[in-house]
Amino acid sequence: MGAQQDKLQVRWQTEAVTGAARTLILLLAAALTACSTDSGRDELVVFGAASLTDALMMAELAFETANPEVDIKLNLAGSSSLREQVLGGARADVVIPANLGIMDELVERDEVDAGQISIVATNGLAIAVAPGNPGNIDSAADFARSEPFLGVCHPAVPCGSLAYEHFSARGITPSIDTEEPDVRALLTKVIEGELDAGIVYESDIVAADGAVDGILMDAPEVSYPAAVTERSSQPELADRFIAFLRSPDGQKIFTDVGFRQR
Amino acid sequence: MTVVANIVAQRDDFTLDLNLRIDDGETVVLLGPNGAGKSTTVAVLAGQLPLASGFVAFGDTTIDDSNDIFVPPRDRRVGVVFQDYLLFEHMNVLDNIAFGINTRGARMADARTDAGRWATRFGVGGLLAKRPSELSGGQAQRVALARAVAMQPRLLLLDEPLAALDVETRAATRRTLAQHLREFEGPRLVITHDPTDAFLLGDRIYVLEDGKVTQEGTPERIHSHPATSYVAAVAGTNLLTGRNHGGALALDDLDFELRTSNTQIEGDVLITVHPRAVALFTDEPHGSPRNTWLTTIDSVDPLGDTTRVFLADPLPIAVDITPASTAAMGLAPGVRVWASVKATEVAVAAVGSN
Amino acid sequence: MSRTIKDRPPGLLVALAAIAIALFGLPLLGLVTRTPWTELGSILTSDVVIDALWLSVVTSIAAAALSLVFGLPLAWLLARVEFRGRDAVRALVTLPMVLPPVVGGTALLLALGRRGVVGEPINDATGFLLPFSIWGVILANTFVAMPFLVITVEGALRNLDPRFETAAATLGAGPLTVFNRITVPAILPALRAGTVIAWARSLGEFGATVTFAGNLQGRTQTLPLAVFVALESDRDTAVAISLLMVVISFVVLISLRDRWWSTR
Repeated sequence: MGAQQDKLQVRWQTEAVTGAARTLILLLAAALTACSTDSGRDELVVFGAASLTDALMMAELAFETANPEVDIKLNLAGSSSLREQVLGGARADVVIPANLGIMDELVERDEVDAGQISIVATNGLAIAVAPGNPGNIDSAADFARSEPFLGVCHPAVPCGSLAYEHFSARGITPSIDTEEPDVRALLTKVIEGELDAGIVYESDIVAADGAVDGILMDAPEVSYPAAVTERSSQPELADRFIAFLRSPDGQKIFTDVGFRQR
Repeated sequence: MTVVANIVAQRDDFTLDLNLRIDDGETVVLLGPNGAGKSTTVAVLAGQLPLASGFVAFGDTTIDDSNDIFVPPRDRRVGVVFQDYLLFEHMNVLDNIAFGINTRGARMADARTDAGRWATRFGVGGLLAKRPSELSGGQAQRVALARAVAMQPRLLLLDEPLAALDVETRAATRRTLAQHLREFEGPRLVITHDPTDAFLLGDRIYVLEDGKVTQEGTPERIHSHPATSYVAAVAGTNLLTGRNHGGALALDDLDFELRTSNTQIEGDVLITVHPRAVALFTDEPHGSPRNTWLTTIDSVDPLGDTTRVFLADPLPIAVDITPASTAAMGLAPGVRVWASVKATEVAVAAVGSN
Repeated sequence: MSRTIKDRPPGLLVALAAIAIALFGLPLLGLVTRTPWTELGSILTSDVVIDALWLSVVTSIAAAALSLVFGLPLAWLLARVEFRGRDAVRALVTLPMVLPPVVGGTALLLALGRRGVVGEPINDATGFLLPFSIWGVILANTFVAMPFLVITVEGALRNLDPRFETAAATLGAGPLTVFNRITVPAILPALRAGTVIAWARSLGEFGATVTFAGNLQGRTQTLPLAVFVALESDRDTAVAISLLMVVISFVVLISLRDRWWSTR
């Protein structure tokens, strides 16, 4: 069961267009990762925001190739879930949530040292438009129209709260049909054409690889902070991984999948 | 209306071939052992099994001609009293009886009024609100009968109507059933394996063995002239086989010799001994030329005004005596008695003469 | 003074059963200990919760009713009619039970969504659309809930002595009359149990609903969806809604226990 093989499938995944196939491949990849527990390698547990999925998988591959003695275990979930898991006692060496607020809460609870936090990537909001743009969406102002099918993330998750902040800053009263619990679910509905448009991250548009069209938005940046946890048993290795993410090679990975440089 | 049927039906490798005729107001009994084809007959008449060939006609109406015509069960108007009655547990007695009236088109309120009258006629008028599970076996049977008759069937069909009852209630229920059957004026068919049912309920009896009718006639005729050993056994006459040598009968399969007064028919013979011709004694009897032997009582069955006693070895035969004698002699299974039959009561017939 | 002699229940069985009870009881305990009792009233009377409660009540009852209307004939077909492919149909019915609900929701979307194989022509012809509406929630709920009713009822139909139906037929009842007046009343306990189980499954349904119908307060956001999004930001609200769901289901299931879904 080569780790190599999972990675190949993950690469292929970026070219896949349908949401269902994507879901299946992700499940498969997760299953393969779960059963390839080689002992004898240094294990580094990385908790990352779901929106970082593609970037972190590629970073894992690159880092492990350069450091064969290291085995990185990724736990990818919504930022709030990551926080709950860390506070609940889960073992993590590195945490990379999708917003600074979550990191602040971890600092308050002494899970992370404030001095250890560094930004590894930034991202921006973008409007994902269904193929062919059936709703004739040109800008965020079109979200005030009632006839297109429009979606955002739920305000409880970062991409949703950012979208609503943007609406209120621009004085837009949006006519929304669904508030999806996470950005991938939202993107899937746009790719499938169930929604005419949705507000996602720039990186999601790139990851969709042509399955949706993107319209950039003049909205505040999102930062992805990374930190070594206080309870980490591998603080040095964790530092090295974060340094790699911030290195030119690491930053190239982020920009390749649609993030902005830090 | 007369039911006429020529039933040829197939079930697995069993074939039933039966000619049947039942007139209005007549109770015909189909009597046979297990596996004779009784339940196949019920299935054919009730519409659960199509004929392989032959026909079933109710008066002028053909119900099944084994070809184009097959009237489905719901349109046959065959009132069936099932062996275990199959009363609907989620309905009370009144609604059970009203069911068949209602399905024939009567409004529910009218059907209930009508059902109440039928219940009274069948002696269950005081049980209308009861659930079937609250009824005794005899009551359930009367409800099932009322339900079947209330739909005004063209044929009333009773499938082993007494088999679900225990021995104590069977005799009493049989008597009331005989009365209640007369409440229905159309043709009536009772299916049973019990000869007592057949003789007490039937105006005419068809004996069914292995898919064929082996004898047909009135109860009296069948009782006095059994045609097969099954009929003889169930009709009460003891039928034996053996060889006659000048009045000494060597019995087949039995280590016993009977004497008969008949010396004309020699060689292989059919021997009949009527149960009432055999007498039982506690002490060894003496007198005119007779067969006497010491034996053991196998079973004692009260049949109303007679008691049927079965003897064990050396000669297992049925004996009918009065209940008074049974009590006086203290007859019970295992009791040792002397049996006696006059040589003149041992009848012989040449095999095959019938 | 009467003495009763009872066998003591085998200790091993009691011990294993106690572990099973703990498995169900401990999460409830966790929920109760983390419940924000002082703010409970204000949380549960907030717009979000009232809207979600109303949607949950309406859609779960509707899904249970639809499961009954369509599931009973299906159970009857599976139990009583021999046809080619019956085993395949039976397997198909259990699909929603083995499929992760999210996958089920995706499949519904691909079939009945706005661009779905069947959904698109229907939308083009009539303008009717299932996703992002209460109808989508009801459909997703019915999809996951109906198998429970079908399986329960089919089992009961198989245990029912078909001779009662034969008896009714000889009494002049046609097939539909037999079904309505003999078959259905005879399996009524199973029918009630199946409906209640379908309702309960529908009340807790999350994955297929959010995938197929989306999530919008007042339109498609049922209690489980409200819990899920609340977990992202406000755990007190999530716990409070969860407790509300536990109370609703307990009240309904316990009050119907004797009359409705006892096995007899």
